[in-house]
Amino acid sequence: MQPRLTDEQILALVPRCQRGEPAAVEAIYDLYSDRLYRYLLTRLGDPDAAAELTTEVFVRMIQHIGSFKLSRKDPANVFSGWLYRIAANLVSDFYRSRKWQQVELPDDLPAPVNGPDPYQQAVQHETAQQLGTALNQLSEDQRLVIVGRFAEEMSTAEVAAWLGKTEGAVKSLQHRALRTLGRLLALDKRRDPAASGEST
Amino acid sequence: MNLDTTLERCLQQIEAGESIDGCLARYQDQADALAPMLAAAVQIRSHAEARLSQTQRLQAKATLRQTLAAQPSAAAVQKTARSRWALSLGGARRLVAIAAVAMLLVVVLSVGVVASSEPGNPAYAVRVIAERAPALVNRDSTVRAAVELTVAERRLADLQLHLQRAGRLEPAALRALLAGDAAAARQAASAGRVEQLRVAGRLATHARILHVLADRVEDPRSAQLLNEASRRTMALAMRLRAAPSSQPPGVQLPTNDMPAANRQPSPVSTATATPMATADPTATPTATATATQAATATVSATQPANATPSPAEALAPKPPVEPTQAEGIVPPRPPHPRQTALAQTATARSQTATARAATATARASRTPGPPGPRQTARAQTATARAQRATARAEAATALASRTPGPGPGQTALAQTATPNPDQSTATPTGPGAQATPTDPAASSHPPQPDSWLPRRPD
Repeated sequence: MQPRLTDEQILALVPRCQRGEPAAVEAIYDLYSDRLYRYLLTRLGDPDAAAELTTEVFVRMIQHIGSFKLSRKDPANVFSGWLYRIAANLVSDFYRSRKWQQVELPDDLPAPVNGPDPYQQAVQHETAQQLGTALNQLSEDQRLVIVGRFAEEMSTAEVAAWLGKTEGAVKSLQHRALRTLGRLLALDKRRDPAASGEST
Repeated sequence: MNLDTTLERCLQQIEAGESIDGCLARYQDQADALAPMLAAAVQIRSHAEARLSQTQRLQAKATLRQTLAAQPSAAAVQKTARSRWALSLGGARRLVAIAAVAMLLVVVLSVGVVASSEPGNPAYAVRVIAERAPALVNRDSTVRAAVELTVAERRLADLQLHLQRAGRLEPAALRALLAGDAAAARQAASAGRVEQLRVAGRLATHARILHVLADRVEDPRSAQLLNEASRRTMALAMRLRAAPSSQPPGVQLPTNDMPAANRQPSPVSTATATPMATADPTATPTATATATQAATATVSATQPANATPSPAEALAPKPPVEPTQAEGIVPPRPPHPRQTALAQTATARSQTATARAATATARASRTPGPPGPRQTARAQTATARAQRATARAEAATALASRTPGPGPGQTALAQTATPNPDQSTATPTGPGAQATPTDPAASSHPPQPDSWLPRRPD
């Protein structure tokens, strides 16, 4: 788990970033890139797409940070929320653009010699995509709670501070989100008993 | 234990290192419900260790540097923002300037339309009210009276202009004239005695001009209205002359000091016969009793008690209620013989000048067709001189009544007030002949008529 960002860091870095200082932009990237990558990976289930969109989040940040108004109250969470909103919008754009895209694989695709087991890779990829599809059925608050609690390993109190909610509200969101996810993932396994039997 | 509590405990145990199966074995009664939720949580938690590779990070940073290089500098962005703001501000300023100019144009055009409006025009009523505004806001009764008189003379000029062009009377101008005269008399009633006499003289001039206009106009209805207006104006002048002074006690009333030999017949009672000759402002009642009689005779002669209101009465505003002439009159003091003689001389000369002016006017009016410029100038000059002579006579009379004994300055003033008969009889043709620069009384008189009608002041 990465250390939580402080308000002082954000108050120092964001104005420099608005002035176009590369060092400040890279510092913000180092602080937020892995968190955003995990969020995007959870949503997309595709490590390459998640890495690509992580870079795109920071490109958008550079393009629009001039219009970002730094809040004096809780600046770290406000800035973090702004970056996650950019990431969520990119995920929506990603799904919209790839909805009907079919990837044609060549028949003579050579098998990797020293790489991981292709079958295991395919199963992991499919499981990650199922999880991403299930996460997309949640509300944004539920998604952020799940990502914060399990992908970022934040405590309930930390998630509550991050999202500006009470701990009780975070617990409630977490339980509803897990029930929905469990239901959706169980349905997927019932539809594909072979995959389920293999995975267990 | 409910499902939420069990789920929370299982999550804590898994976080502590326990497996999903271990948790489900502990809570077998809720295992079916817990299993997918715990599986989802563990699956998501599997991403907790996910990190971008070093290569991905370097590639990303290179992309960000390129993006930064392609971005306009912050200073340029700020400059652009400032220039946009300046442009929008400039646009707003331009809009405000255009609106201001448009409003100014509207105001100027409106003022122009109102100022050039003539009787019969809808904007004329606005002009009448606007021109009276200075009198309404001023507290000094002397100034107010002067302004009201000036405005009334403009209405007289409007009346003349409309009569010349349309051949009939414009009731709005006449109504405004009578209202202005009445207001001037009202204001003068609370002013000093000299001001009262001055206003009375100008009102009498108005009455004379109205009477002449009545004689000239062909429309009988207009003539009737003008005669009625002339009668009312003259009555105002007479009342003002006979009114008690508002000056402090001890100040003598000049009209009371006039000797009985100088008494003239009531101007209004004789105005119908020879208006120009008898409507002389010097025809002032010379004693309290005379003034009262004159006023009474005027009322009884021209307005019978059982008479129905004339059209002019319906048009004209009611004249102000003046105090009776007998009230507040200071007892007369015997005049100084020298001053009295000077006043008598001035009065006689004024009458002569007035008669000559009437003759010139009559001559001009007898000529068929429009009067020529020479005749007009003659009549105009003669009328101006008559009025100046009248003013001098008034001043001399006032001086004689105020001064028990003659001083050198007063004697000189009385001598100056005596009009030069040669000048009165001469027929100057130049425009400069209308005003004598050395004559202090000339400046206080109304503008002189153009031929037999009042000139429109600028």
